[in-house]
Amino acid sequence: MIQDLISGFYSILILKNIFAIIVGVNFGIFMGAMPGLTGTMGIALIIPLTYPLSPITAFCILLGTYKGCLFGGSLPAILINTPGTPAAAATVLDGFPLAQNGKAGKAMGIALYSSVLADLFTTLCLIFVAVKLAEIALKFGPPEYASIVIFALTVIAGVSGKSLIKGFLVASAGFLLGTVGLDPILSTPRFTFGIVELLRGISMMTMMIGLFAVSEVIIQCERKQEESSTFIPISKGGATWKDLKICLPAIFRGSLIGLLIGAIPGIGAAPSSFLSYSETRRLSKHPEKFGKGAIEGVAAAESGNNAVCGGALIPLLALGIPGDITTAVLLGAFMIHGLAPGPELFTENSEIVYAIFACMIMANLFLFIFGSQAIKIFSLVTRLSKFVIFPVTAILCIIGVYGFNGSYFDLWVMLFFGLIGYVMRKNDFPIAPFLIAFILEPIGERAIRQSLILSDGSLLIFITRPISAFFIFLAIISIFLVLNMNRLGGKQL
Amino acid sequence: MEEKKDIIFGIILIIFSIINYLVIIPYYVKGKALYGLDPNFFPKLLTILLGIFSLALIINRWYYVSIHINKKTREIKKVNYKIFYLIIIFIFYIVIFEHFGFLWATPVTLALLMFCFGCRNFKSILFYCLITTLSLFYLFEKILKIVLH
Repeated sequence: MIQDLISGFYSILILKNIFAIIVGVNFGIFMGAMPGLTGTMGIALIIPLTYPLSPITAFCILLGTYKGCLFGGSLPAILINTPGTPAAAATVLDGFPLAQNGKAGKAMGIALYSSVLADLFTTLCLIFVAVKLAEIALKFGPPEYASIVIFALTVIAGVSGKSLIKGFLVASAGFLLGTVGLDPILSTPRFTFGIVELLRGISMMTMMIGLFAVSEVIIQCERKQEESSTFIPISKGGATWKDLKICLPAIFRGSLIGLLIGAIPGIGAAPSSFLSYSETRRLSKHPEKFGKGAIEGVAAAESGNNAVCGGALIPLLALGIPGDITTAVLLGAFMIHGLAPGPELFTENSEIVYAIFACMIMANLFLFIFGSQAIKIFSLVTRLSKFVIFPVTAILCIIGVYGFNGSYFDLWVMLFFGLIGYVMRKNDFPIAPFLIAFILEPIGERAIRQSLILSDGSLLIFITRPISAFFIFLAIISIFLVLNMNRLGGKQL
Repeated sequence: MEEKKDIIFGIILIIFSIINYLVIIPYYVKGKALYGLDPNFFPKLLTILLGIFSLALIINRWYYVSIHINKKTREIKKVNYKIFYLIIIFIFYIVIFEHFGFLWATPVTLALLMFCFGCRNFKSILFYCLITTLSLFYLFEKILKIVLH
């Protein structure tokens, strides 16, 4: 295996492949940093450019884009409270408060270190245990998915802010909105009111940009400020070795969670980052600091979403099953280049597989180098005055949302959620549980309904299957821990 | 004051839950499953949960208000018209963008937004409007091939 990996590096270490990785990483960082433009879109846009390239060079550019994009989403999340991609939604929770405290450089530095370390960890796991992990992941059926979602729901209590009731209330509203669109089992329309655009449900990207970015624009407009003033303090200094040391447990935890969630097809990076964030908060000695600017919060969220990259490639490469939308697009790229991912890929085209592994490691190295440069460039945002930042942000949001689906209807939806987000923030209703519930609803509902069809309506299916029972057990433990933590912390209901 | 606002939100959400359960779901969530749960099961369950948590919020805040707030206070808050202007600008942009396209809508809207945010330096308004519009147009239309009209 080591010999294969070394030959993989030999195929990668030529000028055109290195150049392809550099282009991919930088393009990915840029796409991720633009609100509304996702990694999936970035890869889809770049695939046609790879037609004339060799498969290895093509994957250098595509994987570079994938990794760059996952990190890039954190930059606007930290600087302007606008997650560049859905995966960076959890980064906002502590990243933006850190920026408001004049620690934008530190937050972005930790986001970069966490992204690179988590990605490296999962890439190594991908290289050494891909097939074994893929086999375990394939044992996950609807009851296991349902129990993971139930476990992930315990996150809500952790991100509910000052009031648990408000957290559960907005989570119910988020779930309810998640049911808009076609029913996941029968495909009958629900709450569509005859509007064709609502058949595909409410777009997560549109909702997220509305809730975070548009509401932030409204709030900033409301505030009185001097014309020349900046909206966040100028960032001084980046992340130090001491900061990284504090964050290492969170990064390791996030990497494991991201690896598992990524390896299970159909869940994605956003739930993974929220789960990682919640677990880190739960195990922290200072959970009260989370949401107010804890660097461990940024590390947990970023490691949770970047680790999904390696995790999602496990079922793709080992079994030919895409783990999320981005890997589904990558599957298309494999086919375009005449490759069929799956067990045969390891036997018939092992040189390409190991070149891909080497490319992932190299992409990490370049992400670290160019990510550091991107941080310096994006730090300049803190020097701009708010009358430039927020009007441009507003335009970017509108164009980003329009560019995502090419739908004018989505612009009205974004504005609607902007107003909802504004009202929620002004009245201390937490946004995170609302968003988490909305993200988890389709996965959870489909899994629960499929499980009950399998069991003829018996709920015992969730506790008679070992993996499912394990996650239900974890969920129960987690609920008790959270309630106990809130009681000790004197948190109001 | 915060508690009273929460009570008002709770009441609004309870009314919404009742209307959703009795009127919207029966008319807009149809279909019946032969096996497993019906398509309206989760919407109904979540509406009930929304109602229950709204009621819990009202009771919790009512209890708090009755204990902690004894004397009537009247707080007069100045309405911030900037928010209304901002929302009107957003609506204006979406309408103009749909009918006239990106290149016409963006500079005008950006100028209005910058003015709304307090910028009174017309040279910088002109500079940022032109730079932003042209760079976004070039990026989306020419590089990313996303049509903006």
